[in-house]
Parts: sequence; C-alpha cells; structure tokens
Amino acid sequence: MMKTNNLAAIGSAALVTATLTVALFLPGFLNAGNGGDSATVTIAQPKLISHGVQFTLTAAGNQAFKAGDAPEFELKAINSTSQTADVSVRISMTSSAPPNRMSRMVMLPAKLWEKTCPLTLNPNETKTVALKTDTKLPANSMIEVLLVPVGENASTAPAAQRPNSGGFIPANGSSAIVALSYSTLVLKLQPSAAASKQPRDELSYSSLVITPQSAAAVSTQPRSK
Amino acid sequence: MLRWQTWTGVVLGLAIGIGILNLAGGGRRPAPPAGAILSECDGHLRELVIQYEPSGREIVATPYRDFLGALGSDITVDVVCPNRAAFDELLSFAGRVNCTLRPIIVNHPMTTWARDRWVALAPASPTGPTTLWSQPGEASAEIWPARAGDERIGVDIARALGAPVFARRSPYFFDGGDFLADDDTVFVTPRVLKRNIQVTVATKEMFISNLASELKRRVVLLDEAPEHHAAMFMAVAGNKTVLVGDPQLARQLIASGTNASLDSVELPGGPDFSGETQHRFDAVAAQCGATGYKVVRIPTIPACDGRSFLTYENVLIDQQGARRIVYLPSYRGAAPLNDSARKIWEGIGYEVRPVDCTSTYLHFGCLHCLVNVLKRS
Repeated sequence: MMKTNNLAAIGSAALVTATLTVALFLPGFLNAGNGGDSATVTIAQPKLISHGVQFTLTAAGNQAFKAGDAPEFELKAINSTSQTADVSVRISMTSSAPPNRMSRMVMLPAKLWEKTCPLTLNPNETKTVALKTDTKLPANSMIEVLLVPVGENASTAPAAQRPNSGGFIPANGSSAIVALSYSTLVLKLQPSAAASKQPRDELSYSSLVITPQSAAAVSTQPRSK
Repeated sequence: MLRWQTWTGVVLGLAIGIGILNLAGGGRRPAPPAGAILSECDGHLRELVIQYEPSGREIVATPYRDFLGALGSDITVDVVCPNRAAFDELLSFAGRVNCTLRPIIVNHPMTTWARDRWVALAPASPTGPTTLWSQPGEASAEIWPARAGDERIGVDIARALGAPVFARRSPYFFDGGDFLADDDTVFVTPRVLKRNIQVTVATKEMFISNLASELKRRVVLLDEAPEHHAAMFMAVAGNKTVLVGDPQLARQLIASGTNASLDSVELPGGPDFSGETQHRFDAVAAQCGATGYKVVRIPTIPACDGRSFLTYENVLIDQQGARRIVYLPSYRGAAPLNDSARKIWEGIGYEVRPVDCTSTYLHFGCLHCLVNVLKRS
C-alpha cells in the first residue's frame, strides 16, 4: 500500500512537471534553428523623412475599407527642426491584380489615385492634412499607398512616357515608402478545400471586407509586385 | 514541506519533458555560421534545386528537358515535388539524363519557381553546411496556397538533405531573384528596398549595411531598374563583367534584319520600346559601369505588361576551370535575337547550350527563375 502511494505521488509530480515543461518551452523550441529563427522587426508606423520633416499616413478615423469604398487618409507632417521647411510629398495609391496561379509574380501595380501636397511648416510645427481619394477600391486587388518625396530622385521620367502600368511609376526611387497596404483579396475555400492536396482550381477569390483589425494587420505587411 | 516522492517526480517529469522537447525539435540545430552568397558565375555546378508541380507542366516541361539533358553526370539535381507521382511524371518527360535526379517530396502545395524561395550562403568552413536563407513570408501567401507552400521549401530541403544544409529565415523580405551575385558584389533590385524600408528596417543605409553583413559581399543597390527580378534584365558573367539588356538593340536588330520579325512571338501588349523603359535598362548599365564593371549590352524585349521579358540574361552559368558554359534561353520564332544573343555570350568566352524557354517567359520568369543553385565546387 505504501509503495502504491509513493508511486502515485511520483507519477503525479512527474506528469505535472513534464506537462509544464513542454507547455512552457515547446513554442520557443519549435521556433529555434532550422527555418524558424526569423527575427523580423516590423515597424508599426512607417515614416518618411524628407528635408527634415517627418510624414506619416493613416486611414482617417481608423476607417475600415472594403471594395467599393473611397478611402480617406490623414497625412501628418512634423517639422522638428528649428527652421521653416518648404516640402512636398506625393501620396500615391496603387492596385495590383491577383496573381495568376501559374505566374512567378503578380502584375505591375496600376495607379488608382495620386495627390501632391506642398507644405510649409514653421519650426517645430505639426500639420495634419485630410485627404479624400474619391476613388473606389477595386475588388480582388492588393492596394498600396505610397509616400514619395518630391524632388528627391523619387521618379525619373514623365509618367506618360511609359505604356505599361497605366503610365505610372510607383516607387522606383530610393526614398519612397509604402505607408499603408490593404487587400481586397480573399481566398474563399470550398468546404473540402481545406485539405492540403486540394487542386487549386477549386479555389476562388471574392471581395474581402476589411475590418479594423484585419486592416491593421495587413497595413504593416509588405506585398511584393 | 515537499516529500521525497514529489522531488523524485519533479526530476522524472523534467527528464520526460526535455525528452519530448528533443523529439519535437528533432533535427533542429542552432544556426551555424554562414559564408558569402553563392556566386552566379564562379565555380562548377554541383548541386541544383528545381521544383516541379504537375499543373505547371506546360510551362516547364521543355526547358527542364533541354536543361537537365545538357547537364553532366557529376551534377545532382534535387527535385522538390508535392508528391511522388509528380516526381515520376517529371522523369517521364525529362527523357535520358546524365545528371542525378533526387526527389524531395514535401506533401504540400507549391509553385514551380525554385529561384525565389531562398538564396544559398556558402559554407563558412570546409566542413560547414550550406545555409538556405529564406524570407520571413512569401508575398500573397495568405491568399495563394502554392505560395504558402513555397514558404516552407527551404526548411523542406534542409530536412531532406540533413547536415550539409541548414535553413534559416531572414528578417528581410525578398525574392531570391532580387539578388545577383558574383564573387565580389551582390546586385540588389530596388523592389527589395521598397519591401523593407520602414517595414523591417528604418533607413536605406542601415539596410545596405545589414545586407552586406549577411551576404558578406559588397552590396550595390540598384537605384533604378526595370520593375522585375534582377536576372530578367542583367547577368553577371565573371571577370567583373555584367550583361545588361537593351531593348533598342533588339529593336534595331528587328528593323535591320531581312527575315527578322516578331510576328510569331507573343508579347502581351506588344513590345515596350518606350524611352522610360529604355532609361531603366540604361540606368542599370550606367550604375554597373560606375561600380567598376565592364558592361556588355544584349538584346532584350520587355512586353508592355511590364512582366513578360524576352530575355537572354536569365541564364545558368557553369565554370569548369577555364571553360565557361552558359545555359541560354532561346525562343521559337525569335531566331535573329537568339543568334545575336548567342554571339554575344560566345564573344565573352562562353560555350552556349540553348534551352527552349518559349513556354516559360509569358509567366514572368525564365530558366534562371526555375533553377536554384545549392552547391558549386
């Protein structure tokens, strides 16, 4: 009887300890070594610095966008220098078509909307500019909003010269940043399509309503062309 | 007061827990030191990686057959496939080959584009592993199952091949095709900066510095370039020489040739001979020249869709001592361009082995995009 009690006590303690050990350390363990040691640091709020002025762009009122909406943004400019700054920034919204399933990459982005904002800021002044795009977001697209400094080698040629991508050069300069990115793409799985071997022909796209949470989630995720 | 039975149980539990952790993380090792990014043009090809997905058969069957059939018997090609049937299918159309084809079955969706999944970093020591450096996540993976599968390929290969290969994720977003390296310099496309600046890194200068540290090569970040992967518009050829595409050269060739015509060559939207596109190619040539490289121009035709390129820079290079071989894309219906490109490569000392990529280029990639290099001697 005594031996049974001892074994039960040892077994219980061992079970609890083993469970706690695995629960505490397994996630980190799986992320170590072969293939899992990503240390990506995501910058939550992308900033463009031009002529000493810091620009940030946000969706107005944390607006939730969906296909068919015309986004509104707030451009915030902070001059933290002790001198008056005359600066100009271009805000460009582009869309990319969904990837052809056989292709190596997605199509070139096309311009949806663009506006240049010239600003004069006194020393240590902050200005916020409301921007209405009056442009409806297309369905099934990847959307990027770029901040491009004007007059800093941001683009190199008149837009109309180029026949592809709607004559638009999004950001081939060295200073432009992707301030926001959204997707109106979603993978709509058929009931049986969750299996990993499901042929891709059975997958289809439909419009995604971007909730504030998902918009925040995707806004910091880069999407390549 | 804890009894001896409790302490014994705790010790036993710790041992069991550690055992489970070791089993769960089997094969995982701390990251070993890595060497420099593998050169595209130096050393003999020893081990290659291709991906084969049966839905991409029409795209890759001909170039795979040409390319694999031309490889020597001392080269191993790891064929990443979603299942065994896919590998058998590849064997059925590849025909007779001298190289060794070795399957890596991954059991998940994937694409056929091997180049963009990872870059190979050479072993830091003679006995060290090759490091496969993958990006933290594939673009569009959340809506594209094959791309989500592609995210796992680097780890799949490392697990299949064991100790000689280690998979590591980069903190930066890139496609393997965004880099083009020789034994001195790695050229990096502007799109990599766009994907990372103010996303994973604060400044351009910091990014270049970090990349140079990771890749152990001088980093030349292209200021302007066609919006595509590097090998669509340029090739490193060794001896501080780069080949850079030239749409005007192709246009002149077509205009001057009696039989030259592009009528039978499909180019979505037609050829893009615009000044702006030409400017981007010229900007690459100028920047390469400014960084100390001899620049050779070669005919290239970008289509107006901005993605389909009739390119002769998307090559695989093999150096066998003094002998240099280039596996060069060719396109049916583009004989004058094929001939001109062949002469240009021969003119810089290469033996040309053509690979028919007619079925491939309309999907925004070509030979170099389909084949990744794991090891050179």
